[in-house]
Amino acid sequence: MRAGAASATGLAKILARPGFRATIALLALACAAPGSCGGGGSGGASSQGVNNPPTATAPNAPVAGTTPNLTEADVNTAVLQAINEATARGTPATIAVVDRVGNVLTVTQMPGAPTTFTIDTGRNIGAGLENRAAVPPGIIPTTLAAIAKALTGAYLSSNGNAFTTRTANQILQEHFNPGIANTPGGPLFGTQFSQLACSDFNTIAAGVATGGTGVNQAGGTLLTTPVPGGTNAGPHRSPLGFTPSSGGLPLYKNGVLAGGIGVMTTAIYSFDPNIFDVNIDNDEVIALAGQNGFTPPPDIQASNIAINGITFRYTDATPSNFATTPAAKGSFTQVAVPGYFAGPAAGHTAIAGLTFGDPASGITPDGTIGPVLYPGTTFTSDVFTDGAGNVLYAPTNGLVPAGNAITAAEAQALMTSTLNVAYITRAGIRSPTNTFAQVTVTIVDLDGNVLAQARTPDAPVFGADVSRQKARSAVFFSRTDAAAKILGITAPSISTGPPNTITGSFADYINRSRTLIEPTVFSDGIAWSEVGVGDVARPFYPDGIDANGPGSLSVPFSRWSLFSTGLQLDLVAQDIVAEGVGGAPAPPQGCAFIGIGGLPELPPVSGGKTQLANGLQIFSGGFPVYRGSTLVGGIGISGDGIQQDSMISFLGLQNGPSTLANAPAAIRDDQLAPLGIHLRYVNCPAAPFLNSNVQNPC
Amino acid sequence: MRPVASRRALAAVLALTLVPMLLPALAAAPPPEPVPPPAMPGPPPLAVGIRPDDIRGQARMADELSRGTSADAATFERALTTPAVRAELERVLKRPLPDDALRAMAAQARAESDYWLRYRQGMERVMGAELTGRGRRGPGMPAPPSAAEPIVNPGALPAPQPMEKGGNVPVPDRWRILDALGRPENWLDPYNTSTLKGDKPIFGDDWFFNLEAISDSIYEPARIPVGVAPTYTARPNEHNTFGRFGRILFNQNVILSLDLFQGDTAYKPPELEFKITPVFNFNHTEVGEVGLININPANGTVRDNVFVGLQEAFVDYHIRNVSEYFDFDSFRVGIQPFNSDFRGFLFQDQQLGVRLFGDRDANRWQYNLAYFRRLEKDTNSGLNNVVKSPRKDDVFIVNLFRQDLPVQGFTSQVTYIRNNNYEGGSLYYDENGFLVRPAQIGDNRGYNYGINYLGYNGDGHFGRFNLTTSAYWAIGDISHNQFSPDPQNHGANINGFFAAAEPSMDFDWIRVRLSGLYQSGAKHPQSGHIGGFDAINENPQFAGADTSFWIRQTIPLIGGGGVALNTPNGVLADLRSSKTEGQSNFINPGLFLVGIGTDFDILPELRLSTNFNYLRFATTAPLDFLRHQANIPDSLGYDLSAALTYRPLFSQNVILRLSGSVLLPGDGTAALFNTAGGAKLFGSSNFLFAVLANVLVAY
Repeated sequence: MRAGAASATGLAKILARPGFRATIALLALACAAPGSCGGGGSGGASSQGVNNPPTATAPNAPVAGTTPNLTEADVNTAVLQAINEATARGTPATIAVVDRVGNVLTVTQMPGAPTTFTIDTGRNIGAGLENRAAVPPGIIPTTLAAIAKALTGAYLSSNGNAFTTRTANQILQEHFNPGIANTPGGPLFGTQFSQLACSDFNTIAAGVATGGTGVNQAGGTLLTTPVPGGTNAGPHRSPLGFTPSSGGLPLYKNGVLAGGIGVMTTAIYSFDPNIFDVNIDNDEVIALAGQNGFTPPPDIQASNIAINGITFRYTDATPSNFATTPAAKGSFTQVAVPGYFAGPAAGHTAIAGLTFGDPASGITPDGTIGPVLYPGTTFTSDVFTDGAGNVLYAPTNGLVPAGNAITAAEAQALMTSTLNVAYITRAGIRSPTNTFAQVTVTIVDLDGNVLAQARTPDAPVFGADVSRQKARSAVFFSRTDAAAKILGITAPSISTGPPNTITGSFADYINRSRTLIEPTVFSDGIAWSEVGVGDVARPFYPDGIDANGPGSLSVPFSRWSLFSTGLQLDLVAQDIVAEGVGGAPAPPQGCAFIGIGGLPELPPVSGGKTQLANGLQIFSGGFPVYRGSTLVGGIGISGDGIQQDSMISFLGLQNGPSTLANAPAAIRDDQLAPLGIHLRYVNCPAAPFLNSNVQNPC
Repeated sequence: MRPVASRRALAAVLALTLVPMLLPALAAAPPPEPVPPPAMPGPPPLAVGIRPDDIRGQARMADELSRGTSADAATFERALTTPAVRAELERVLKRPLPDDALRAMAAQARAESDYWLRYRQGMERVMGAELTGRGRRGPGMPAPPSAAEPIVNPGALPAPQPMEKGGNVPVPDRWRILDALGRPENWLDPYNTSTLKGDKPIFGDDWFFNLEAISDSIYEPARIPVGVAPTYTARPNEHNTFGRFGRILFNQNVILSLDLFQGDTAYKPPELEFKITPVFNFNHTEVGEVGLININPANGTVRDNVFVGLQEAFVDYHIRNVSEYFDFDSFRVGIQPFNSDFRGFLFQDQQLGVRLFGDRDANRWQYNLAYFRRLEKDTNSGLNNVVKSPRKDDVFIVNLFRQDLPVQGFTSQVTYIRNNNYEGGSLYYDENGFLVRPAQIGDNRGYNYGINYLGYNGDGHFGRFNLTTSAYWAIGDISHNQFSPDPQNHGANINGFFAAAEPSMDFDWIRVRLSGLYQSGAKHPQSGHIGGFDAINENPQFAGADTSFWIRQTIPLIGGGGVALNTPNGVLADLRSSKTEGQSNFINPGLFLVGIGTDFDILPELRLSTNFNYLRFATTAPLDFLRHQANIPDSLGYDLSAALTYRPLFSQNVILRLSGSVLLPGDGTAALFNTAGGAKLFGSSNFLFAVLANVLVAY
């Protein structure tokens, strides 16, 4: 090439103007940037926080005494509006309404509505709750689905975020967003198996007859002597955990969360794998009609809140999809649901919900009853009550390790320091922005006995049970006997055997873990955080990479679904069938005690419960607690974004009593590198604090 | 400053040291002709549209040619009898000259001398008035008689017809005259006569072939923000969102341009042209964290990638000339370069399309009518991927240039461009596994768009004062607003604006440039009325261009979704997933840029350029939303850069460039990224910087 060369076209022409520099531009060389042309950060980074002068640091006011509860008339209005829409659509529905702590306030089933349903994600996976040998099709009452949806809507939400079961659908799946190949799992991966009926935390409803032991199969002995009309302290259990099935919405009164409504019109209980379309779903439209008059403020609706730049789904349906103008007319009859709803008192169709924050609700500001437990917190926190004038989970001495256990004073100091981290942490999922994170914190000892549990004033209710799961899960896998405990389970797995058989083995999880992670896994004292546990508990390893096999605590994707998550589900499968669906009360030992076929799973330990007494949890927000290099307990957080949860527990422990600490760096799970990549121990957000410009805090 | 001689010596030393690959070519090139070979007739005068001055000039030239060739003939004849003359001729022509050869050469020279003499006489006869300047032949007069007379040399071509309209004057073909002289051709030497460079027909009378080959190497370490993968890390003890900053890039392109065309090789556009430009790319990228070079963290932190792209593949058909100035209409089909304006602000690319273009009034008017269906690009090389189906994205372009408007030396252009994009219905992943369409922000749902761009562009000078300016108004609609809380929203109206200007002035060997640019932003990102602006495929040569950190580098919006604040080789802050593979995104913060730059032409072959730009967002509302953070400050920071460009051969054949840039973060950047702490790839700096080393060798 030379100036004035024969051809005046093409490259030569461009090169001639405005200079040789254009050559480089012409060739678009810069697109060899990492990741992609401009998309280099996608998937590679994850944070909600920002480094910014803090504003609006005032907390949401504690809601005690100021929050209007759902009255009986409110409940009736919501239900009748839903019935009105269901009638107009020609889709008879089963409808449930709950208060914020999960008291079922009414359940009704329109004539013609399906009475039972089948859990089916449509991929014939034959495992987990879709194992037809373990859970035969068509046996689960649709009333339970309606209750689970209502509870999910109420529990996921707060006065700063209004989430729905469609939000849950978005954040529970194997990819986030669902349907995007090779992206990691949803931020709340595994939360569907929380709030379980077997939980040693969530309560059983008042007045539902407790039919004693031996209720092992759905359709078995039902409870027969209800005492209608009562509510009691929550948070209550959910028959099916959280649900990704659309049709569950929160209910607000004057902008304050008061409860939730759930609608079920079909005989299939599933999820929505494609979130890129607009899915006009009868359940959701009917629930939306029922919610009329009880809608959340627009700015706190999920679709106005972005995490990592991605907004949450609120509903796909809008009032424009109503078949008729919402109206509360006519009447309905309620139905009792054994184990969950004894029905309202005679002459009524609903029960009034409890006022959230009243001691009777089970959650109340610290100091409302008795002395202030955590005087050192920046703001007044919430504690849990039994509804009968007693505070639950006040700081107490651990039982194990004997002589070296976390003391009550240490638990109190650790709780204080952790809540105080939350009070300066920029919330990831709340609106308005630049308010502090709202979470529940649980501290357990080496056996998972709860030493302290408290929360910030407006934490979503679901995080109470989940924080307890996370604390226990982290300490369980960090013990040297975890592998042995799982290998010792004689009950069969409904997920690891051939499809639709009950022949699988729990040992499969440990054997695969030894292959994938290291031969001495879960027995060599490596400190496992919940981030690390999650890393190996997804249907793909690395998380999200579709072509790959599963993490060793999960099952292959052909056997995996939202209702078949591997070890997590296997440990509570029998509990879901017996206590969840069957309505039986939780066993004294909690979850994971009795397995399929009545065979034992985990043995009870020092506190009389199993080490995973409310089930295993497999996503970020829990850490083992060490005294020097000795494992002495665990801490779990839930309620805000997963990075915030992770950071608050990690820094809470770091800032806590000097006698307790995070695991020594040399024994953390991030020293492990299955397939050459290191697991993570903690995942802290960018610019997480409201009161400083720190960017990398951990 | 050192004496010129020593500068030249330095240049030569550098050239020899740094460009050894050119040495064979230089060594093989013949020395400049020490003695003029026998004068040969140049291209004969063309008879079309000749003006009196031209005619007089031609007459003089014919005289000189006649005399010269006559002298040559005498020389050849003398050589037959004078051994010294023969020896000298043999030495110059580098071949033995037997009597036969000398006689033939003498006869040829005589014939040519005679030819030019008669040519001169014919002109005089027909156009005596013009030749003497004493008036013109009147209109309506009969056509002039032929100037041709029988030629003595039977091998010669017919004599010219000076006044024959629309015809060329046939002469003995000039390329074979060179052959007859035995002028050597060396394919390694692109500077002298070369068939590979279109100097001589490759076949037939007027089929030429032009080969261009360019090696373009880039080594580019940069400290850009890097995020840690959410679930896995490259090493233990990585606990935070921001990881080991930085990226090292090596990129090698080998560009082969093969151009076959029919027609003349100068002045006049080719009649028919076939051109193909494959580019062979190797790129090597290193980053500090996993999950970046590929979505699969198990693929580590280093990526090597090879790709062959097709950057040109077109047929250009020259429909017609419409004036004696070769104003023309031409039609071009295939993958072809196109630039929508002078500086590549809106659409500069090599894309698949059809284009009707041409000019009028001696090039004072130029026009383009074009339609492009955009090709998919390879992610890591940025080159065209013709194996994949083209994108569902259409660009229609109409533009009109006018020279000397409003003043002589300044060209104005108006343009209308329509961009229709129908890619909202499906998911598209880049080569590294990341979803790029739709962008992973907001509700993540797909969208289509149709945008009308109305633009004015100007380039030129007002006296000593240079000015480039550009303004675009984007109006149209998107079918879905990803930021809207309404899942069923029907999108938004787009009403965005862009303006840029770069005045400059030369002071001896120094040029001083001022740059100003405004890109409107979306102040209300969730609404149905979006005020942001985005381009189709920008490639701006502005405000320092790829010397500048902001324009050259990409800053991913870590924690804000799968988008970046800006794109590589892009000035707009447009939150796209990818410049080459993503869709336009009008819901963006917009940008305000002011800068001052200088070019110091230290030596003819050495230039130092500096740029100093201040950048801020037009609005941060979209960033506030995506990062879920209130009150992000709007200051992006100060972008300082300098580039040293050295052209040892004083040409574009060898270019060495070294540039460095620094982004001193403003409050907004500091709020978005960890610019003050954490792990570092390049020491403990708290700013972002890049170094770009570029070696370009062209044949």
